[in-house]
Amino acid sequence: MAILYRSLDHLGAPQPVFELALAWLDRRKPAPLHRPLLVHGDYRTGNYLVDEDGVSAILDWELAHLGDPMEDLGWLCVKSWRFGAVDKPAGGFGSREELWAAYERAGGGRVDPARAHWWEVFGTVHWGIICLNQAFKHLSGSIKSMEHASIGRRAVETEVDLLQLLREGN
Amino acid sequence: MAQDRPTESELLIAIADFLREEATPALDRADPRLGFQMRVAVNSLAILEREGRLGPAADAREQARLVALLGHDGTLEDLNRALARQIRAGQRDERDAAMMAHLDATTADKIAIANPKWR
Repeated sequence: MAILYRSLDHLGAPQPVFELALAWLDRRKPAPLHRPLLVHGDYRTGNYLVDEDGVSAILDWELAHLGDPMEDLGWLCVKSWRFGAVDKPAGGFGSREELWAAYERAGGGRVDPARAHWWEVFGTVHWGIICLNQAFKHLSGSIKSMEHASIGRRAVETEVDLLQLLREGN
Repeated sequence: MAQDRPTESELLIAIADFLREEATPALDRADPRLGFQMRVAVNSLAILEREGRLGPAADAREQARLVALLGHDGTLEDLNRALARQIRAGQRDERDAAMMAHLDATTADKIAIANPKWR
């Protein structure tokens, strides 16, 4: 949370919707786990391979860390990873409830829906700030890239999603 | 002095249509990576076309709503900074119906420019 606030301040432009989401998250911070677990850190559609038998590989482990495994489940449900299949919150292929049940069946702990929702809101605001940061890399001259610049205009997608998510959470 | 036609919007649409329909397929054959970059560029041109057409009125509506909400005047950036500061200080949250209506309207206007298909 502190890192997200720092990024937002560093970017400079006022962002009322992100402020609202961060304050919402801050007031509802889940209790820390007694035993932190392995978190992939970028577990989303685009970072795993599947074949007829199921998941065959999970890619891009460079953000792996110890923490709350609900971070991965929340990130997978961020709307930007549904690639148009908006009615299938889990990565564009299933419901949240199916994802949670599969997680529990596969040996994960019990999923608390409120905790999973918190991490989905966190993931959404995180992606929104990453979008602004990508544009900032171009604007600051550290990377000259039209693609980076254009990602800045994707931040508003997460504002739409956050306003929806905060309503669902009340 | 008014410019002759095409208007800003018409010219941007003509450029985007040319790039999408003629340049992109040729680029895809030559170098798919450049084809992808061209799709990003075409998408950004479409954003600029919508921004030129819808942006000024959207900004004016946002400004008027912020003035009504905050009770003082200022530039769009100053007003948004004041609102952001109030939210961070805990003076406003999602139970503030007037603010939520403002944020819904502002976000709707922004997404109508940046990506009207988003839902």
